[in-house]
Amino acid sequence: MKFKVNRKEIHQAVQNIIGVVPVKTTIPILANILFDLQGNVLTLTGTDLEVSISTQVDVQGEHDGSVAIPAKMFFEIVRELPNIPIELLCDDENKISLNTEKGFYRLSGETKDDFPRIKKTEDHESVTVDANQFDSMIAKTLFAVSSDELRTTLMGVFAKITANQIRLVATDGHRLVKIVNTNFVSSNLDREAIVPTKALNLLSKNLQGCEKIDLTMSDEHTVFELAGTTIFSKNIEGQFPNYERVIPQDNDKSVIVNRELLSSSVKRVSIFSNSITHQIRLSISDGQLAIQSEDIEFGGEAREKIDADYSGDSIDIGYNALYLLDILKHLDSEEVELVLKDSSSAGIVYPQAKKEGEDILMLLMPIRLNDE
Amino acid sequence: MPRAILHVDMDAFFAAVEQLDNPSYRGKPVIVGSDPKGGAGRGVVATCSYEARKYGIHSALPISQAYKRCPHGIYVRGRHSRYSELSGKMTSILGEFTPLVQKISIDEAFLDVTASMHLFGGALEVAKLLKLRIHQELHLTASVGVAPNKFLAKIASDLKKPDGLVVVKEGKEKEFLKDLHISRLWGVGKKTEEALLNRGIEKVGQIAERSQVELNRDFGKHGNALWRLSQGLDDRPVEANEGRKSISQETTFDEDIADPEKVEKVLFRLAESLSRTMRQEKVKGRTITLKIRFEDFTTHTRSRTFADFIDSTQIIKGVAISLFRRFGELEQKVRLVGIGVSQLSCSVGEQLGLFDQEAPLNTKLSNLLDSLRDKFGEGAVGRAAMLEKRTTKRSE
Repeated sequence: MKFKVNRKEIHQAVQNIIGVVPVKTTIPILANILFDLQGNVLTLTGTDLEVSISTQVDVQGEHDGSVAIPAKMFFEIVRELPNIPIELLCDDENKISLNTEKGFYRLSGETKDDFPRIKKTEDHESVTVDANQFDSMIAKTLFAVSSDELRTTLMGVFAKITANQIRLVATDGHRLVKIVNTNFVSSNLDREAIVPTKALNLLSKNLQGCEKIDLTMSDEHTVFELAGTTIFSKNIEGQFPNYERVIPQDNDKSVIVNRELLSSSVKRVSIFSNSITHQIRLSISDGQLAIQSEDIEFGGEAREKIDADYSGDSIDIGYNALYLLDILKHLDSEEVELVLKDSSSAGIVYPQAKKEGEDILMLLMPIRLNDE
Repeated sequence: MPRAILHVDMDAFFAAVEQLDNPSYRGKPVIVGSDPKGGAGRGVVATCSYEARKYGIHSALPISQAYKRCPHGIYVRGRHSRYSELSGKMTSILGEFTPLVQKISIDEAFLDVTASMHLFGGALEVAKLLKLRIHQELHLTASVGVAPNKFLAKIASDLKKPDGLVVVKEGKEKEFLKDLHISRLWGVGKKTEEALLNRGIEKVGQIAERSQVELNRDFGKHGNALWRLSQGLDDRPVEANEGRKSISQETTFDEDIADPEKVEKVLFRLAESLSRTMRQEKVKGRTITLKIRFEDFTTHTRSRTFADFIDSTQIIKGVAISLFRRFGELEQKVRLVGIGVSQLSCSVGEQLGLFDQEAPLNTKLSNLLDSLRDKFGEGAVGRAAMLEKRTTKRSE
């Protein structure tokens, strides 16, 4: 294999892939990136066996060929090089040399046969989605995904594509986000999958400058195709919980508050909350919302008040401040509406201003208050 | 305001339970502990009956020594689940007198009845009443010390064992202590005792006569503590058990174990018993810790922390076993394993879950086992996976 490439292009391509390469692995070949040259197109592939990503770079090809190259070392040298041409040469024994005007670098590759083959999907119908909109949907759901290996089905985002909508749902069992977007090109797909966090993070990193994503789903895999880059992910096996059932229908207390004001009050008050539970108490009464915390162990205490659009019975409800802040951070309207029932039921948070074709709902379960 | 503190100590608890359940043991020396194996056994005496104490047997004595002193004694292995069953009943009786109950081991507890004693006619009446209740409901005896602080209450409960009741009145602290031997004081171990005896100090009263400066010079910081105790001063509060930081159980094997499958089986049993205690006491925890001691006595702990507060048998077992498996191939035999849960929360301050209603089958099974055991006793039902030879177990 032999080709010439500009440092800038190969650096960008490797940077897109490096995120999938496992840092620690019991399968050493996975620490490599597969280089595959055909004509003037170099395809780079990385995988951790769950998620794979391939990207293509234009090069000046001389001899076709394939080799697996240690990802970390290769990434570090192209990162440190200035933008000059690089010539890459690989001999029959998988010895690689990089030649530049600065000098040469040698390293040992592995045979391409050891690199796992990515199973291409069967030909499934795909749907084209707007990259920006999808990126924002990912950003607003990923934070709520569970990192708890005991509940693997919550370790990804549930994605469902139907005739005229895409919905993403994420939950860790304490909070939940549901986003339904109807701005997409309609198709006749009707598919759903739990897509692992890592695949969506990679996708998000690779979306810069992209306009469209072609999305394909089969029972086992979800594939995202961007210009020149393909992300191929195994779906998380198992049943996503019945999220519709836990979205309350009979919450009757609606409170509208300024998102920034609430968020900054919660941040300050939570400094004085218990360091394990981060418990704060919201006390809502006519026209105002009080945010309080108390740490019995260390004697800390804090209380703030903000204006709220509310009239009705007063209600006290406890939340984990970090969870509430997460939710407020991932909404972008100026005001938010909290729709509550009582101190032990899920509260709903809506953005006050809606975007065309996008419905967002966030749920948060309370912390049981000490005085019940 | 003077406080009213009770120290309740069950008399020869494990041995008394054995004598209660086995009428033929009554009036005989009963030694609960590891198997003496004709004098060659390892391990120690956990408790022994008062009849056995006449032979010079006491807790923590090597079982081989005990066997030498009393070869005809009745040696029994501990039935921990039965003891914790009765201990749980004791706790609930104590809880009826005050919410400030600090259980310090399976068979003893401190109570602060300062606020509640007037409901019962005073601290002495509380002590009499709870001794009566324990006797009527558990058919066991307890010794109780009543005093203005924990230190004095604990000494008092020990003075007239078994079935004792000793009251130390406010203002009589020094008088109560003055003729007691110095070894009764907390923090007086062999070395301090020797040092005190070398200075001609034998009784607590003699310490009280020394000046603080003198004691500080001779014993450093410790001197100050000695002086305070000799005056009967102790202001530590009774901390109700919510203040507890962790809950754990561990097992020392009779023989060191090389087979990882056997270790895992024991972990399952520990997880089940620990999680049952947690559910009984309504605590959940976020951090699960595995403790392992190898045959060369090196001790390791590994832990994992979760977002959720956990009390499920299945999860605790799963995590403990996966932590155990991270040790890989066992290069040494295992001497002891234990599971601990920390970062505890009581049901107050608990993060509620969206899917709590959809309790998994395992939770339902645990709940069912719990209710059967509540009704028919700890030994009534068990998991088939746990069928094996008993090993000794200690709860902390």
